[in-house]
Amino acid sequence: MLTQKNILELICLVCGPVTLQTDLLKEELLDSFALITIVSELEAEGVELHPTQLGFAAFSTPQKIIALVQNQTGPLP
Amino acid sequence: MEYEALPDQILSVAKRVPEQLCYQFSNQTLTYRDLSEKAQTLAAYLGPGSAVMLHGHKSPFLLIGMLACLICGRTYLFCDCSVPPQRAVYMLGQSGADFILCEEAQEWFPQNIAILTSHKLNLLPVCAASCAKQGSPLAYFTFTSGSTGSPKGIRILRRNLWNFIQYAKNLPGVALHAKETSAGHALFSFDLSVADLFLSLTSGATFFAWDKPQSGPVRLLTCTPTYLKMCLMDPCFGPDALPFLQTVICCGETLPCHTAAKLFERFPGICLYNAYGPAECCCFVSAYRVTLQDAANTAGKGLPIAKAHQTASEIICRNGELFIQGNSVGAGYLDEITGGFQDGGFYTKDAGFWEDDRLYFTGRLDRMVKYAGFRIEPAEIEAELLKIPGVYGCFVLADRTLNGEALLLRAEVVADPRLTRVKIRHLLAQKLPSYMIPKVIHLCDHLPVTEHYKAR
Repeated sequence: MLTQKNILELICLVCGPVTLQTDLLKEELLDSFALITIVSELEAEGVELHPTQLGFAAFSTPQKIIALVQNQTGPLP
Repeated sequence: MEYEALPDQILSVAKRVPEQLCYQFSNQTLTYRDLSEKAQTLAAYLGPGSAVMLHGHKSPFLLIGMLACLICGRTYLFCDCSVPPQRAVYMLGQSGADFILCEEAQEWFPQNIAILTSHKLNLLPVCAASCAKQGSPLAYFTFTSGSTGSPKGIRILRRNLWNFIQYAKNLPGVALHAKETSAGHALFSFDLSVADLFLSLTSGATFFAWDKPQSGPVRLLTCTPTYLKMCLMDPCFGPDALPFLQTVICCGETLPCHTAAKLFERFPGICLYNAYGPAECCCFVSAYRVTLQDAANTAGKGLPIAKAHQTASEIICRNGELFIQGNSVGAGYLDEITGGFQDGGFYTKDAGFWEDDRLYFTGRLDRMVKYAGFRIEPAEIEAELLKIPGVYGCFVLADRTLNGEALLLRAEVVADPRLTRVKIRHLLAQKLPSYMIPKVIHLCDHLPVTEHYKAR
């Protein structure tokens, strides 16, 4: 089951140790490969995000990424 | 020799379809007429000589420069604008280039090297040039990350290039015809661009250089699996946007089964190739046509990368390592280190096995890492870290997924406490391309090692 903690762990796996508020773009931690990996892993959990439509800025912090997921799934534990 | 006909072949194609667009990038276009006239003018201006660096980002001028070099018998090397100046200067020195063709002259260009911009080319009187018969046997140099700490230049022969083109264009569904269109995203300095450029130029087709995926009349797309994944993330990437797309060639990294399955779902009936080959062997040496059954495979072996007797050169498995022999194998490295060029072929350091006439890749036998299709030697990053004043020791490692793909480059660094991660990253960015900068730089008191003194 997808949780906020899982999502943060996934982001840390790809971007390195970060907090919910880390600015992934400013810190240059989220390149296109990292984004594709995060989106692919979320897709495997049934969440479809479309970065080309949402834009990179929508993924700038782990908190925003979790919010995007929750827009589809509803509140996560 | 047969391969000497390559520039003539392109010029003949240009004569057949002069008004056809041969290239487009963003709003920059080039017709076959312009390509032919300007390349011949430039070839006559250059004359025979040493290598030429073609500097810029996907500009049509770079294609003109490439063809000009092939005509006048010189060797070329592409250098994208994103390459840090120090790295580019190193590449210049290694290649022995005595000319730089560029859109715009850069401050860091050495004083002792002749420079020609596209603007100056347009001022030269148009003239014809005959293709040199006694030119360099080398087609191009391509640089890749080096395990000795500096990037290594690979010598690719005209014979290798010819062999590749003959192989690739005879793959079912790949050969292009005049008025058809192909697309690709690879930087010209990434040798996947060899497929992009030469498959279209030798057929009279148009090549669209993409940065981001676009809609259009594209029939053939060449890309890395990462780029394909990115395309498939956009629900608009489908037959409505690309109604003529028939064939996709994926190369540069492992193509996951689920990505292949997703492509088949989006484009029913599409022809998909999983291509394989090191840069040392000119673009790719094999292209396996993936079926729906392959994509649905859950046996854990991954998709095959070759079918027996359907390769550009022979791929042999020696003690679990893939060894390539034949006309694909380049002429060694610029720094004269032998490396894998031994026994009349090339030892790839790729692990794999043949089973039921299919070749499978199982991983690397050394530290080299593929990140989004880019080749990275951790030792090269370590070498640059150690050049930073205040860095006393380091390891660079790749944190990987279960199937061996690199997720993250991590550097463990022992350094002067006054040195910050930001400063280290900033200094590395002056020397290394962005994809080689470790995302995680962990400053530590001592390097983490196992009980056997291996990097943890």
